[in-house]
Amino acid sequence: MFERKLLRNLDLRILVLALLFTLVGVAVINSATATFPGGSTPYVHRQLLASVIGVVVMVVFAVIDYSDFQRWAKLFYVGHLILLAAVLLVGTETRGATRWLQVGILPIPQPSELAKISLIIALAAFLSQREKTQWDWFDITKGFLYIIPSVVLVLLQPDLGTSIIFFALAVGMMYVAGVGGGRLLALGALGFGALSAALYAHLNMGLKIPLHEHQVQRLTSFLQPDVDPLGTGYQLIQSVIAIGSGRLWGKGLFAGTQNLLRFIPDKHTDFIYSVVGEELGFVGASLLVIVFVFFMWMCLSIAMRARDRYGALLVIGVVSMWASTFFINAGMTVGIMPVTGLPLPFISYGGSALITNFAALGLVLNVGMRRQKILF
Amino acid sequence: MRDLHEIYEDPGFINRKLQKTKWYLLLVFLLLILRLGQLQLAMGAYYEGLADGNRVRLVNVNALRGQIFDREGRVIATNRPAFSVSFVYMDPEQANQSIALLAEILDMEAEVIHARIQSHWNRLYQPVTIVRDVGPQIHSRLEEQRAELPGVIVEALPVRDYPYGSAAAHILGYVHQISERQLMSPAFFGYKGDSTVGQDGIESIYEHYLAGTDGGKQVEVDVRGRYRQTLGHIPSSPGYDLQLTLDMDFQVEVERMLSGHIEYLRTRETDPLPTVRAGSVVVLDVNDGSVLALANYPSYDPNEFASGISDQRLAELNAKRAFVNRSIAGTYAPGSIFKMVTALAALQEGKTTIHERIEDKGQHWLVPSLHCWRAGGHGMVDLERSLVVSCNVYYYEMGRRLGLDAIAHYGAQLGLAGKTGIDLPGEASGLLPTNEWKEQAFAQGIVAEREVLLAEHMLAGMGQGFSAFTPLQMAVYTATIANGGTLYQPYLLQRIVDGQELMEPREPEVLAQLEVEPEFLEVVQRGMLGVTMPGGTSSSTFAATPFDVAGKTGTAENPHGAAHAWFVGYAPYDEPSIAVAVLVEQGRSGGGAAAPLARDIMEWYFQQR
Repeated sequence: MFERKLLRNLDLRILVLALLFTLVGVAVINSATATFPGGSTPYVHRQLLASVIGVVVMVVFAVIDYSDFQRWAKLFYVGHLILLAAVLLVGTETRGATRWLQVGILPIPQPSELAKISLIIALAAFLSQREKTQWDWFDITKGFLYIIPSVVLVLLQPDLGTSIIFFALAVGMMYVAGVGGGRLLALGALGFGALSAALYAHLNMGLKIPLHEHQVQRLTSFLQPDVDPLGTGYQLIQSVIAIGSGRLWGKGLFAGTQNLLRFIPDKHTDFIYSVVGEELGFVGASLLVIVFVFFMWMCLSIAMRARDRYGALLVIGVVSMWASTFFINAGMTVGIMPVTGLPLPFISYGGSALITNFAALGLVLNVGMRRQKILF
Repeated sequence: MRDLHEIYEDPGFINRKLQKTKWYLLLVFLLLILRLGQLQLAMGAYYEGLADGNRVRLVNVNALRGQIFDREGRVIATNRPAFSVSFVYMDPEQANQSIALLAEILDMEAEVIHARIQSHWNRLYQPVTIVRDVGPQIHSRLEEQRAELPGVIVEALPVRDYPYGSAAAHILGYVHQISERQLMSPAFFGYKGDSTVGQDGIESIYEHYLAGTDGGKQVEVDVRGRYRQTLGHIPSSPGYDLQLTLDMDFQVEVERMLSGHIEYLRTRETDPLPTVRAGSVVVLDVNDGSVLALANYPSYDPNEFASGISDQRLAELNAKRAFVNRSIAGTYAPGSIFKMVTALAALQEGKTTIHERIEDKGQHWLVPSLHCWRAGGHGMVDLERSLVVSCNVYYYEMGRRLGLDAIAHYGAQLGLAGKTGIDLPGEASGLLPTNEWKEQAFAQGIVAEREVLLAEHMLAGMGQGFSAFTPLQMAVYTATIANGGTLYQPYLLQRIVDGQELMEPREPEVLAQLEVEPEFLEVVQRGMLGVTMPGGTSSSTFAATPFDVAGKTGTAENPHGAAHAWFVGYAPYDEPSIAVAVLVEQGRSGGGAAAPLARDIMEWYFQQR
């Protein structure tokens, strides 16, 4: 089943880059958690352990021929919906949101993370059924209807961030599958307009919307952090101060005052980019962005050489997921995106997300190894 | 294979799209880098100034809690300037040094202070209140040793003040630091761990009017924690003031009379009643249901809570059950003061007439164990006389003729079928028994049999058996008889005051209208008048009262001790304005222990008002 010669096609560059991101993440986590009551060691150990598990999972996802995933797509689709529903029914609650499943003493990785991979695998199969290159509105509607159950289930947790990622990866995949950019842009503008109008009406006219009060605050406070300087606005102000104070070269690892004084909330998870910005400066923070874009660029190059439509769609799904997560997370820490609670891919502390990202990387490598033999 | 074939027809399509995607990615992430450049390069020095060596700190600006006035505008709850001590954690060394000295000055355990700070771990580097309302000596010591106390802040933080001391304590409630449970509940969304919130009474039920909205200041401080400048400021908005229906002078007087009377009963020369320890008085305006006075004995002083109370003192007050608002939370068998309900029910249901006379030989002919309170009985008794002399046999008979459900039907119209809905927390609903209630009680194992026994119907007719009500319910019921049958919801909040603006006063709320012929109600009112007239059960008590009083005495059997003493009444008889309910726990006799207090209260009120 697995031919050794496939290894010749293995794109080592992106694997090395992914491991590099993980190591940078571990270094920053080490610094960010240094002042925690138990010290940074447990965090570093757990992150390293998760990356080892991640690499194993990645190998699994790379070795199985991805056309098998295509055949199992329905299974992935139904499976992830069941898992997401199970979280709502029997999940454990942390900080007001139900995101974990527990079996005995073993917590299963966050189902919403597993759901991202499953949705990419399933949606790619769904979209590759339609060979047309011109999509009408009916096709677009069907594409979005396909992801709506997943979006609703994660919104109920409530996990606004993941539902946005679901939309982002669907948009990226549908764009490549054939939907015109203009139409997607129009849809995006419409969605953004509707959300803004709903938030405006909620805040000014008391319209009922299916969001929790803290989500509304998070979504709006980045526009005017002064409005809520005691709550979410405070996190944003502190994050911006931390990044800004890093200046060109940064204060160096373990030397960020904002970091060490614990001014930054959730700084090893959601706000890790603030620590990067403070301690590694403009050079480090923008280099990270540039290398990450380069990394995604290479993944897209793999997609362009994919042997079939399904493979290309898998890769664009993964890249859309990474791009949107990275941009929303980093954008949040510099105050240009709302606070939604998403981790920085490969960098933030958190095993579920790290393992998921390695699994996604496995899919990309998979497509890359089995690229088309005839070159045009 | 068909798939592959079709795709190969236009292999360039997907690649063109992927190539475009690459450029879009580059464009979007360029935005991020531009923003980084703006923050770190263009404005870097500014942010460095904020972060490095300087600190940004959040300071909560507490909203001033609304005041509470009585119906005449007298201030009964306000805020008094005071100093509180807060602490800002900076590093372990600073904390250990400061806290050791602080504990010594405040005479507290260092561990307690550490624990308080630990509990605010998520808001580190923000001031945590350690003690409120410190005295001038402590304040000056803290000022003197300021240099050795880095992180210790003395803030002007007003504390709640009740100028009338313990008066109306059960009505006003008190304020105290928010509890863990409250902090978790959605009703207190946005409150902080060291917030002070209303914990009982008006302070609690109108918390969201009184609290106002806290503001905040974002201030820049230097490395030593000294104020440099304010970066952002949200002003706090003070809470609304409340005006209550209470007449505070009257309230104070009623409380004084209640405690004096109980003390007198305990210690009087002839026939002292040492088991008398508690009592309750409710005075309502019969024409709108507003509460003029509501008093309980024993009580407590809410000022003790404003600046913290010791556990020992708390236990002592708890042992006396001083926090129980007996007027609304204590339920007692009504005994004879319930007889008007039965009388009205029997007349309206046609079970008797105004003129029917029943012979009372001292016990009921069907159930001889049911006695009249007077040995030998009252002889031939009609309805009016049955109230005047409080004949039990008459009401056993009416109970037998009516049954629980018919009595309860009229009880409900008089406000006895559940909570009155007064704007105070912790009201008890009382118990107006019905056949259905007994069935449920049987299902829950509270009573031994499903059916209502004959004797139970009969006992219900005279307010014994299962029946139990709060003093407030008894006052509401008396007021309804007094005003001709309109059941008003009792209330305390007259109006909300927004700064200088008086908002519309509250409209009295009519809960029900008594469906009884006016002549029947009149006969019952005449019977109540007869109670205070020569020949009535409390004629001697009211002999010298300069106005006519309609009333009813009650002596309710109490399985836990001596009988409870009741009196309900209203005055003046011709044009009623107030209704009074008096309960003296274990007072043995309504006429002896409760009626004199009701008389004193009524006389004071009509003399002064």
